[in-house]
Amino acid sequence: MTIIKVDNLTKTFRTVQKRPGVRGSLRSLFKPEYQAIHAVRGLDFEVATGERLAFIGSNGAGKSTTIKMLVGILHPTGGKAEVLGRVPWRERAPLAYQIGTVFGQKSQLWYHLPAADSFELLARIYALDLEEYRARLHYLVEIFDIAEYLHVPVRKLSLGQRMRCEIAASLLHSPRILFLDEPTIGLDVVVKQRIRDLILELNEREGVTIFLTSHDAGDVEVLCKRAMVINHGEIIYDGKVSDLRRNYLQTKTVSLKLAVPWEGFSAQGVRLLKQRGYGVKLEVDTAQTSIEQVIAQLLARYRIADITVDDPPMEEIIAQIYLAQTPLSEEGGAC
Amino acid sequence: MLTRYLFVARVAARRQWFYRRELFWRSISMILFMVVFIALWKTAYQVSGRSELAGYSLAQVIWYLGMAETVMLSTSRSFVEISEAVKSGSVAYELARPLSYPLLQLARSLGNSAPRFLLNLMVALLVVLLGTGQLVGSVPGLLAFLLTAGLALLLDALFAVLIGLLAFWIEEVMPVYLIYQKLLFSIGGLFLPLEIFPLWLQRAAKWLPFQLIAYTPARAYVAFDVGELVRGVMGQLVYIGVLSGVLWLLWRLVQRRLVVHGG
Amino acid sequence: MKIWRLISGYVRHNFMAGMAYRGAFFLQIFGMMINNLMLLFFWNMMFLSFPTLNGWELQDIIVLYSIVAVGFGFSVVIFGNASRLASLITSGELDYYLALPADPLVHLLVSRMSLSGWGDFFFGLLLYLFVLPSAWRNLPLFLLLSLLAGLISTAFAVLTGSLAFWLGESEQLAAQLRMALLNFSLYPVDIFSGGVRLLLYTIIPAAFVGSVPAKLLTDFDIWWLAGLILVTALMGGLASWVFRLGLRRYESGNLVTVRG
Repeated sequence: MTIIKVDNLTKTFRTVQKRPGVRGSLRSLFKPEYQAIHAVRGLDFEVATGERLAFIGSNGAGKSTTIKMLVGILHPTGGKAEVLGRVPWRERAPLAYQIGTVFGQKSQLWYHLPAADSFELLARIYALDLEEYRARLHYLVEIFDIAEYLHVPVRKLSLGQRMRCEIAASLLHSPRILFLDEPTIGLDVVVKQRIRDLILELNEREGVTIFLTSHDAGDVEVLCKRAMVINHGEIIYDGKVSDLRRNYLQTKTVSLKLAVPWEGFSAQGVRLLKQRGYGVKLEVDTAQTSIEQVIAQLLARYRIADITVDDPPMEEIIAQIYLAQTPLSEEGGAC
Repeated sequence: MLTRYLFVARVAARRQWFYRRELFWRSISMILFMVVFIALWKTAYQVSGRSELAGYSLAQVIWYLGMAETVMLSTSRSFVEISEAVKSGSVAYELARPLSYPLLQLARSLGNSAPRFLLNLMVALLVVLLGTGQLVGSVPGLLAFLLTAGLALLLDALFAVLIGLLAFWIEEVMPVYLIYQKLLFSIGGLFLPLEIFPLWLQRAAKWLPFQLIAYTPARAYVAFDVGELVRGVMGQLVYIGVLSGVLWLLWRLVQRRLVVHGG
Repeated sequence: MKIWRLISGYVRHNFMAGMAYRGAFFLQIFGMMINNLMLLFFWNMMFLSFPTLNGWELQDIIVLYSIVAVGFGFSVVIFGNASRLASLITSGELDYYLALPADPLVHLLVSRMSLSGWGDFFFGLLLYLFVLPSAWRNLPLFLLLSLLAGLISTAFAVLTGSLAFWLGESEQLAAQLRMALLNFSLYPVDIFSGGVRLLLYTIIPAAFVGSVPAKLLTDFDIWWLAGLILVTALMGGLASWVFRLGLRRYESGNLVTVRG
């Protein structure tokens, strides 16, 4: 079943161009000159119920604008969209009862109060029935394992504990779609994994549709089956995450801090990116070799003070997709 | 050394000019206050049939209030910024700078005040002239006003920095500022010339620093008198000295606290 | 009704959040009460020299002050976010309220509480109860009038804040207009001459926040009360209508800064 359906969705912002000088500002006042910014240009896609979709793009690509239109905050300039069978910008309030949002950088919990109090307030905002709310809260507290933090002021929680409460809060009203914006930003590796597991569990248990935006390639890989990449307001990739992984996520970077001087290292599928003093950065192509193997070889040869393995940054993946999709002939003459 | 603080003050003044739209809205509050005061005092004089009160004619009272408001509306309220820096802990970084934080704030306050003062003065002159239809004051009065108003703004800036630093000890400094402000309104002579008060209160008020900020400059303008001017300026200088000493002590306490507790 | 549950929920939570820092909370209340007391000092001095001002005596001024303080205090305690409306609009923070199902205007208004407003509220109430004769008998009327005054000033804050939908950054303008309302409402409307007086009954409806309710308390007239209730309802309706009208503009996104 289709839960989100978007058809040629377009959004153009008009901003007033300011002219320099006093005369210029006067002229702008009476005869403003507008500049059009095409934030979203003709999006087409569908999302099925229960799907886990990653919506990827660099800053300014049109991600937020699209999500704002899907939850009814912004009117589109053109095109159609249906979420849960409703047109979001016409039926914003009824729709809001059925969708949840988590913004990693913006809390919906009261900073100075225990999470339990914020939950109760959200129950009132969503006009939940008291009995149902209690049962639901009990259930979520158990899944998210937050019973012991429930009555501690949020400001005293760690970021990971807070994030668990944050996601639980967004699920109180049993939404059918969950919009997650950078849910693991700033969390350490273990906590990140915990949050991802919880989101997956919810998706399986309740069939909640997940609509994720993230700069963390790990989030995308673990959480989502499908990925959509948006750039300059257009979808440039829509397909399986496994394909994305095969084509663009096959490299990892290994950063080393050595305890002895660098003397070079060569192996199949390993490329030196940067070396400066005792710091070394290597790119490992996982199609040709495995991370384990490379690290073992490195350890055999050097004394190592510190080592980290990272996914390539999302921006790089997007740039790669973008380049791969642009025919060479256009590339030369586009601008 | 001094040139650096002068530079800080100049940058602050230029920044004010950059936000002249806000400056413009601020001058509306001057018009607003004066409309209220003019109406109030006209009615008061009319209803009672008096032509003078404690030596002030109707026009003199209004000019007095216009000048007092000019000073008051030009103060810079730096306590807001300081208390926020204290609460966020960023004030600790100020210790690493080669400038003294209190002096920096004082310079910035005066820089902020200067353009506002000029604008408020022009607006006040215009509104009061239109409201009373009468020009009160003299050239020496105006010069005395400019001198005492400058010292008054420095005195107020000292108070504001002190109030801002109180944020190290109390959680919210706004109430302290509000009380200080109302002291200026009442026994500081902002709403009424001090001469209208009962004698005992006048005597008490004259010993306090609050009247040096609004009353002294406004009085110097409407009723210029050399003896009174000298006494006023002396009072201002004495209190500027006293408050500077308090600020110096307080800042040393703060520094020790920052070094020991790390903010 | 669910909107009442929302409002009462927010009032409780805001209060609890304020109590998390008890010291600051009580300092603000206390500070505000002293602040107001010192303003009354001015009137006391004024009436030492002039016993009456176009029919207003010190006691009438005290009635005026207590109504405005209780009304204004009530307004900023319950609807504490009204003063931030303009900046919410220009910064795009309105999104948060639009993504939730509760009525966005009511929701945004109640989601913040001015703590110092409690100081105004208690100051006005104590002033009324302990300074004026036969205060207890008239208490219900006093509370009703204060409520109306508070609602009018809230509606005015919404109207001035909503200007940001059309003007863009206009926080200063809204702040000055709100201050004008409060400032003018603290003076008897009869001291002003024709033009200004007309202004105070229309564009800056300070007369309905201060002088009209104050007169009603000392000199009750059922028709004036009916008129005041009508004005309150009109202002409330107008504010809500203008906000919704602006929202359509906001939704069409002309003023929204492009982010991401």
